[in-house]
Amino acid sequence: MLSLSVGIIFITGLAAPYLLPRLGRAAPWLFSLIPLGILAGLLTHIIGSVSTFPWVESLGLTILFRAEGLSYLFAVLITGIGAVVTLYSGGYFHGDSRAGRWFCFLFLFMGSMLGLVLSDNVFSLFVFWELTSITSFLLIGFDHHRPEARAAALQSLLVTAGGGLSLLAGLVLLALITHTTDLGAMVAAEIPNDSPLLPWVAALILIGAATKSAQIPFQFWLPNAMTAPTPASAFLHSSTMVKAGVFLLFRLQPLFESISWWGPALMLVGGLTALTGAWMAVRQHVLKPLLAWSTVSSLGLMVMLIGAGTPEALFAAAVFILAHALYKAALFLVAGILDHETGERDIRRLGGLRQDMPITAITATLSGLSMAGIPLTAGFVAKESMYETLLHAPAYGWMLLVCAVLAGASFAAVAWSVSVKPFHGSRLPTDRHAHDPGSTMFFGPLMLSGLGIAAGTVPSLLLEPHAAASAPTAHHVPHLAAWHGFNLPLLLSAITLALGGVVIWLRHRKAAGDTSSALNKLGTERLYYRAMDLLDRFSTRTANTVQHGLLRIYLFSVLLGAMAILWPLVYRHAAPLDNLITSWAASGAAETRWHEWALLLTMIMAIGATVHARTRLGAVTALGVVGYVIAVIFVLYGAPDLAMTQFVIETLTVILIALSFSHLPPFRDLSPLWVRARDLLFAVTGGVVMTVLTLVALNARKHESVAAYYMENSYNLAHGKNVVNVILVDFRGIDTLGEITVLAIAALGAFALLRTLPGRKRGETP
Amino acid sequence: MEFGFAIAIGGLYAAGFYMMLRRNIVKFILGLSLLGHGANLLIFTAAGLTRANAPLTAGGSGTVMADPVPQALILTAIVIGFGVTAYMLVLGGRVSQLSQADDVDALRESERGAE
Repeated sequence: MLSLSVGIIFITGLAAPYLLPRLGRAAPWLFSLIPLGILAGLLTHIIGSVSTFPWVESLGLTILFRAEGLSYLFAVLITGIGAVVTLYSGGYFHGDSRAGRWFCFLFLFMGSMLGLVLSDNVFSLFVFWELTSITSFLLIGFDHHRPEARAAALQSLLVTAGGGLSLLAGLVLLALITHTTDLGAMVAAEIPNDSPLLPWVAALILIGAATKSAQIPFQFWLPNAMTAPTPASAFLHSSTMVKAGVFLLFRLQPLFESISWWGPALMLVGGLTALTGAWMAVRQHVLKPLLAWSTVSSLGLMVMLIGAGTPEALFAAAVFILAHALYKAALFLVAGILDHETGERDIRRLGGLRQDMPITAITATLSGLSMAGIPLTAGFVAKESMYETLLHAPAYGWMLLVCAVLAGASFAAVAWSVSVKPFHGSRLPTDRHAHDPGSTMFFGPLMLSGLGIAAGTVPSLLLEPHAAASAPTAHHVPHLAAWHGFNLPLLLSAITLALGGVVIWLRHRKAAGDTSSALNKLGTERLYYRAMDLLDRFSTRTANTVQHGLLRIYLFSVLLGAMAILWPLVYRHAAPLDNLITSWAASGAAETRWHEWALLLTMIMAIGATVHARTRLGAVTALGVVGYVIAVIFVLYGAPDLAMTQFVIETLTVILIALSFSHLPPFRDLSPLWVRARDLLFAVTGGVVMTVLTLVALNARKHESVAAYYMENSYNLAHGKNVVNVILVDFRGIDTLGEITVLAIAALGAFALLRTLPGRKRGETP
Repeated sequence: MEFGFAIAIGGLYAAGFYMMLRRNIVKFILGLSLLGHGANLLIFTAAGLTRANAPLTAGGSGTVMADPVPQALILTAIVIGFGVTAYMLVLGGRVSQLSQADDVDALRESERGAE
């Protein structure tokens, strides 16, 4: 059932462009029923929790889908938010001719993401991982006519797919260490602590996860990815795909616990990312970058919690993943509504929309409360459990706590900017007449916001069961409550909110004068651009070195290669050559008649004359002599058909050469003497190789000639007495047809070239 | 006899190689032609030289006849070789006429990548 669910989503994606025009206005509702149905199946456990699907049986690869623990939590998130985003897209892309393509990409992503979190086989996980990178690329670059969208799409693909390679290397090594490809079995496997490869595996997987989840130093691609249409930002770049890295670290955490640097590294990376994201977020004034940087910060917090490593910390991370997905997706969708209905993205030019967009204002407020961490919201519960955990963390607790409080303060500021500032205060004029969107667009975000409040008010309803299932050791999971009473975490919450208030006040004061660019480039992004630039220059230089355009050098390389391959082969078989030559010299010389010697001598002289001729006519004539001598040889050795053909064709060739180049000057020495000497040396060496090859070939017949068959059947089967002719037109008739085709094409090409001679061009002034 | 032929084949190949490495476009085509001759003669010789009769079934069952298979192969090769040479000639003639040059190096601008 699980593999069927993933399959249905993929099929819906592929069929969406065809279905959309036929379903009309009902299409978004019907499309969103698919993830909704899977969500219902997951929640009611109608869809089983394990499902296998044979993939490459000869390699023992089976796609094993397992919806348990963290996978289950993510599957619920993906299908739930997927349904909301699908419905929302119906309104967002209403009347847009690209809607079919949009739904196709969206569902392909949804299927890939679901496959990723459900995969129990690491290699199918990797394939789905890369598929999410590719679909993310397609969604970021959806407005492909905009250069910045293309650049951002390429950047995200290079960063995440590059990290994917590192992940693949890590997973392969891990499979070698644990002798299994099943994720569940890997985590359960007993790995000796001193396995020398394990730290490498951990480092490689950490790089892969850090690129996907926009951790420092790869944080820059996520804010740039905000050029994607807003539904994609809400779905991929806040609630699901960017959490894939967190998901993987979470799942593999038990494996790497024994590595001394694992926890501190995660805490360091996560903490720095949380602080950077928080710092950058409060400097933004445009809705989506604001939310994107706060997402970076949240992802940092999650990684940090996983690094802390205690069961309580993992539990807190799971609660935070869920709460964050609920409010962040809703806020992105609100940002999309504001952009869609007012045409304005800068919060400094938005204000007082409460009257015109009441439903949007309510949605934004509910989600904003959750993001800021006001009591009775999911965000509050998540934050409290995080503080509680960090207060009891075994190491670096207070440092992590500082990170968390600072990030929390920035969340409060961001929440104010997105959900309070645009809707309250004096009404600022907007380009478009602002009003609430249609039901497709407000229904989903309102639902998510409402869920955020409900989950915060009654944590045992949604947060606790899902998060508890994710934690690896379920038996001592802390109890979640909407209100823990007055304690230290609550005090920290109050400090967080107060700090947030200070940030808001500072921003408010500075906002009028601050016009600095929205996207401050951080050091690591400059590194990305420098690397891209280097790559460009390297490939240009390589192309210009290899593709120098000098025909003779290309030829020289090809011939040299051919000789290098031929020579050892010939040499190996040429061992008995000495006695062969002496025996031939003895018997052959006597056997050879004088006119044959004369012919060979003539040919060799003609060859020399062709090479040495000073005029074109001389060279062509000498070439003709070579051809005629060969024709005579054909006559002498029982091949009259060849002789006739050779005579005709040689004559034609000589005439053609003489005519084609009549406009050219006589031969000159174009190359310097040393080049000619070098080429001559090379050519003579090549000639010697070919001579030896001939002698070896003479002695190399291992099988009887097939001639006897043709001799016997030529008359009986094909009713022809000339066996050569019969072979050409009957036994190998299709080959001859191909040959005729080649000649016809050559003739057509030649004709086309001759027709466009400059002198004969119509209407051209001479 | 075969020894003499082997030397002639080597000569044809050597001359073909040398001519194809020249910058003059006509020499290049002549070299290609020589190389074709060399290949044909190589197949002919390697199949076994015999002063036998042409492979005609009318000759009766007793007579020794040349192998028809390499002959069929070479016949095809001669004709295809002519097709290639003819096309090369027209193309080379046209190109040298347009570029007013017989030097292949003068044509390399079209092959260069962007600097």
